[in-house]
Formats: sequence, C-alpha cells, structure tokens
Amino acid sequence: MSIKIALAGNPNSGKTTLFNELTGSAQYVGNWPGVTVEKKEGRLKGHSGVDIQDLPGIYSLSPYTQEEVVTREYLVGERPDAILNIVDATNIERNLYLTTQLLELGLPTVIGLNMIDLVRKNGDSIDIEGLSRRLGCPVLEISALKGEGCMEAAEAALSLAGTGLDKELPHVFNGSVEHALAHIEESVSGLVDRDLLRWYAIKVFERDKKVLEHLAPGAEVTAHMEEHIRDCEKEMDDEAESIITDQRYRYITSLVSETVVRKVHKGGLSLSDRIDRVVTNKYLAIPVFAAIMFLIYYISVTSLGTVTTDFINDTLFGKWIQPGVASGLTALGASRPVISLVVDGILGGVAAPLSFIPQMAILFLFLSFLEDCGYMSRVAFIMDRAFRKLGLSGKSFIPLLISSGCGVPGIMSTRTIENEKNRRMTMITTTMIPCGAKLPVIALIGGVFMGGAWWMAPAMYFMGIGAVVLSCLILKKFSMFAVDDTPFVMELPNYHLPVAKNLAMHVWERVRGFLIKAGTVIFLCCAVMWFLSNFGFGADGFGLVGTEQSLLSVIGGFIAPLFIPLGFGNWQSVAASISGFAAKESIVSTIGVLAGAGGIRTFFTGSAAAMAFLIFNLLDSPCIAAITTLAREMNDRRWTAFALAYQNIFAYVISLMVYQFAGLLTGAVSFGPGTITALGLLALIVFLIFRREGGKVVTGGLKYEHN
Amino acid sequence: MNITDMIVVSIVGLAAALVLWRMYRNKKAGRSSCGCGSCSGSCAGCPMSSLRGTANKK
Repeated sequence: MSIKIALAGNPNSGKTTLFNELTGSAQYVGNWPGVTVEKKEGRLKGHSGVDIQDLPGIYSLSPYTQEEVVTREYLVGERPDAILNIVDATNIERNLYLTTQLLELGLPTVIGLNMIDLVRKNGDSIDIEGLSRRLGCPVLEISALKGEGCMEAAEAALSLAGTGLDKELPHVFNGSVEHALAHIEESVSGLVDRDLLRWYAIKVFERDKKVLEHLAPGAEVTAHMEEHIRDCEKEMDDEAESIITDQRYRYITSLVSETVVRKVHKGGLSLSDRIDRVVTNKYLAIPVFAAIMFLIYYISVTSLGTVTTDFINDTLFGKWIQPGVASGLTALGASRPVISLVVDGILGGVAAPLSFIPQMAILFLFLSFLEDCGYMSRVAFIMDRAFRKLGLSGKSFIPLLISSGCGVPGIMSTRTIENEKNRRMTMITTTMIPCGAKLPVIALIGGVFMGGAWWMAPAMYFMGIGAVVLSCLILKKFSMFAVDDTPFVMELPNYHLPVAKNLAMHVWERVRGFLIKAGTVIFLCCAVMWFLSNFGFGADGFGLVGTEQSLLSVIGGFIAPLFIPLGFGNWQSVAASISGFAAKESIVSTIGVLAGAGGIRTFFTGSAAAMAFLIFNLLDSPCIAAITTLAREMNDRRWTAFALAYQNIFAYVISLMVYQFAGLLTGAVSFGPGTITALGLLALIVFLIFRREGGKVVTGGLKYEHN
Repeated sequence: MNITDMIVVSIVGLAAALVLWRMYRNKKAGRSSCGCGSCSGSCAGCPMSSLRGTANKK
C-alpha cells in the first residue's frame, strides 16, 4: 500500500506548482485562486510507493465552499499519512490560520514556507526554528517556482508519515475555551478516533452542523456540551465561532510578532501597487483591458499568426503534402474516389484546423503571460463591479477567462461560486466566450469574408463578453436566477515575471490537445463527412454520387430551411454547424471537406450571412466534451436541457438579428417578414432586459415579496 | 475497386476503428469528457484527474 502525502494550503499559495515539481506532472498552474477544484494525485519522483495529493486551496476547514468540503472530507475521512502544508511566506498571517486548523487534525504535518525567495527579496526574515518550535512541527523554506527545497520538504513529510502524535499542540485558545473543549472531548471521546478528538471538539464548539449531524451525540450529551459552550460564550461575550476565529488570529499575531521581522519600507508604493494604480483605476481599467485584448488578438490572429497559418495551409498542405500524396496514390493506381477520400476528405479536413495552430499557440502564449504575471486576477477584480450589476460576481469572470482557452475547465471552475443560482447562470453563459477551438472559425470567416480585418478576432471576443452580459441581464430577471449582490473578496497576487517553463507548458498543453483532437474527433468527423458527402442514393441505387445527391445533402437540406432567415439556409453550412457539436474545429474541417473547387464563398451569399453563421457557431451549444461536463456539473437533467435550449435559441435569435439588420444595411436583405421578426425579437430582448424583476427574490432561504 | 483502393480504404477504416476504440476506452475509464483525451491532465479541475467527481456531491 502506498504512502499518501497531502498538499494543503491557501488558494494561490503554490500547491500545484509544488505538485508538478514533486511529481514531474504538468498540471495546470494559474496565478489566481481556485485553479484546483478537485484533488489530483501523482507519484513522488524517485519514490515508487509515495503518492502526492494536490488538494484544492482553502482558507479554512469550515464547509462553506465546495473546495473546503472536498479537502475537509479527504483529510478527516480518508486520512493521508502526512500533510505538507504550503504556506505563502509573503502572506504568513493569513496562511497560518489554516495551519492552526490542520495541526488539530492529528496528522503528521510539515510546513513548507513557500515563496521564501520573495521574502528575502523584500528584505524580511523569518525565524524558522522559532516557528517550528511554537507550532510543534518541522518548518522548511521552499520556493516551488524555482524548485528550491521542494524535495526536502516532501522527504521530511515522508519521514513523519505514519508516526504517532506525541507532540503537544500549539496553545491557541485561552483557559475558558480549553475548559469547554475538554468537556466536549470527554463527551464525544467514544464517537471519534483519538487522533481526531481535538478537531471534532473544536468543530462541536463552533456548532458545525455537518459535524454534529455526523456525530449524532444524543440529546443528553448535546445539552451537556451546549451548556459549556454557552457558559464560554457568556464569559467571552461573543459567539462560539467568532471566539475560535478571534483566538486563532490572536495566537497568529503573537506568533508572527516573535518570528517574523519585516523590513521597514520608506514610504512609497511597491511596483505592484504602482502598476495597479493604472490597471485597476476606476476609469482606465476597462479601456486598458480592452486595449490589451485587442493587441493580443491582433498580433496572434491577424499579423504574426496569419503568416504562419498561410504557410501551413497554402504551402505545406496545399502545395506539398496534398499534391504529393495525390500523385503517390495515382502512381500506385488508386481510383479517384479513394484519392478524394485521403486527399480532400482526410488531409484537407484535418489540415484546415491544423493550419490555425500557430495562431492559437501565439494567443495562448500571451494569455498565459497575462495570467502568470498576475494581470488576469486584476481583470476579475475590475469586472466585479460590472458583473454585480448583472447578478454575478467577479468570481464568475474567472470561468469566463478560463473558457477563452477551453469551455470544459471553464465550466468546472464554476465550482468556486458558492451561490447555486449564480453558478448555474455562469455555467450556461461561460461557453459563449470564444474558446481556442473556435479561433479557426473566426480566422476563416474573418479572412475570407472580412478581408482579414484586424478587428475581427478581438471583436468576437468582446462579442462573447457582450453575449454573456446580455444573457445575464435577461436571466437575472427570472426568479430562478435572481440573487442578491454577493461581495467578492479576492487576493491579488504580486506581479512577477512569468517563468518561461510555465508559459511553454501552457502553450504546449493547448497545442497537444489540439493535435490529439485532430487525430481523433476531427479525423473521424472528416471521414464521416466525406462518406456522407460522397455516398447516397443515385439512379443505380446506393453508392458513389455527386455531392448534391449525397446523404449529407439530404440530411442538411432537411434542416437547412430553419436557417434561411439567418442567411445560411444551405445544407453545407448546416452540416458544418452540426459537425461543430463533435468539436468546434470540425466546422472548419467540414468546410474544408465540402468546399471543393468553389471554396467557402459558395456557401454564403455575402458577408452578412457569413457573420450570422460565425455568430451562431460561437454562441450555440458547445462541443460534446463541454456538454458532457455541463451535464455533470449541473447534476440535473432539466437544468442541462434548459441550458442547451437557451444557448441554441439565444444563438439563433442573435444570428437572425445580425443577418437581417446587417443584410438590410448592405443591401443583401430587403425589408420583409425576416426583418419584421428581427425587429420583434429586438423589442422582446429590450423588454426582457428592462422589465421589472419577477415577484420573488430568494436570498439565503428568506423570501422577500416585492410590493 | 482495385487492390490499392482496398489497402487504402482498409488503412483508413482501421485507423477510424482504432480511434473509436481508444475513445470508447477513455470514456469508459472516465479519463476525458468526450473520450478523445485532448483535455487530459492539463486543465483546471480536469475530469481526468484521478480522484474526480468528489467535489460534485451535492
């Protein structure tokens, strides 16, 4: 049986960086709190029988958020052999709050003082021996980012694993509390393990509902314990939970004053503060964010990206690989349909999205840089004010940021949102942000129909944010989503230059994912699409037919009329959109398979129709992977069905309006039933935004009736 | 259909079957949402993490 060492600590304290260092894994590391929402397991390098568990970051062991529940259930229920507590040494007071709780779990614990290099850089010093003596456990200095002291800390935890707990716990509480705790310990001693007695006693003192439900101590014992808790509350003139919190912080304050020496800074602001004065400024924050995003998309999609994409598409595949394979197969005597299957169907289909890899890689390099240096945390903070007006908090913006990479982790990261209504609304809307897979579609339509306009890609990003805003404005008026403003407290990490290895890892993971998709889902999609677009029922029965008689033409043609008001009521566009449910890149690959000699221009009557097609595919239901995740996270079939229905109807309505209004302006559409419908829908949206809220607003279990 | 055609079509068919089989196995083992495995190991809260699902007990 393997030895389990759990990494526990505050959010953004560097647990996942340490986990990667110890296990050689490549787990996603983000410079904002809440990156890890589930446990991850890896093998300690050089130790075959030792597993490292990366737990979600938490501030306490109270069951207020899902991360706290996951971590607490694991530490109390499954019991690792040792805990390696990661403490952010630059924020030692706040981090030690969790440490005092972890020590009460009765598990061998080692403290890793992370970011010690920054402490030294600031001119501060920490008395490691003193800290270790007061806390009663080994304390080691580490820098997870630089890989310093990491293995030593893990080995220290390993040496303690499974050992008994003879050491005295730190004296955190005063005599009155200890008196009450002693009575509680006596009362529940037969109900819990000896090692956990202290932790349970404190939780009972705090009247932790989950613990009391779990222990079910009986009426008489409960009354006895309650009597002692009330006596203590009376004496301390405070509530039990507050007494515990207050005394923990008093203890930490005394501990820090004895062991930490901070350099006195002569006035002035730190570099982070100076940057924040500009990027989080009330008036400048949003324009700065918009300018940064425009610049990033411009460089990655339009300028630098286009050169590399054109090379891969036109030269590598268009001039070398596809003609080469075609001539090879011809020389071997393959027939035209088989050559078409390989060259047009598979190579053409797979090449179409693959050619956008350089654009995606450059985009993710920039996004990773912004995230790692600490700017993205500021963006969540900046957006909080705007989002609260929409019924969401800045916490909801983090899933949106993550979704710009991939919708799957974006949906999963909503777990950090405590309010269930907020969380559902975020899950429904988060995939409206263009993910990496949608980038090829944007680049393709922008390149062909907008003349490669530099503003297309960033405009689609902001259109995604606009769609989220619009959806939230509409949805929050319904009682099933209406929530009170919730305060958003977020730690802003100091700015730092990202480590090149981390950036490279982020970019590689995205590219790798894209390549895997190309070799699996997209490859299958291409083969299926080629078959469906070349086979059908002709005059001689089922067999090879022209594309206009193909199965795909029949299936697409059946659904296509629905999309006539959107300007792309032809079977090719519908087939491409349907293939997008397998993977969004497949839209481009299907276009590649179906385009043939006429090219994509034959699919659309003009730029208005192409834009409507693009917007529909950006806003509709995400790919099957994200839908599966959505269903799992919603944990309710009706909510999943509602989310999918909403996304598709919303996408349809917006695309219809885009085509009708843009078409009217460009002359592609004449005023008629379609335009009247679009005007009606616009009026309905305006009504839904500005109407009075539904009769009831439910807050924290209390219902308030509007007069 | 000549012998070259049969070989090429068989290779494509075999590759497709292999991909489907791998996706089925990935999906069955819960290693990724759709089975393709492109999101494995790299994402925040990735469904491929070994102890998945524990945070979803509501």
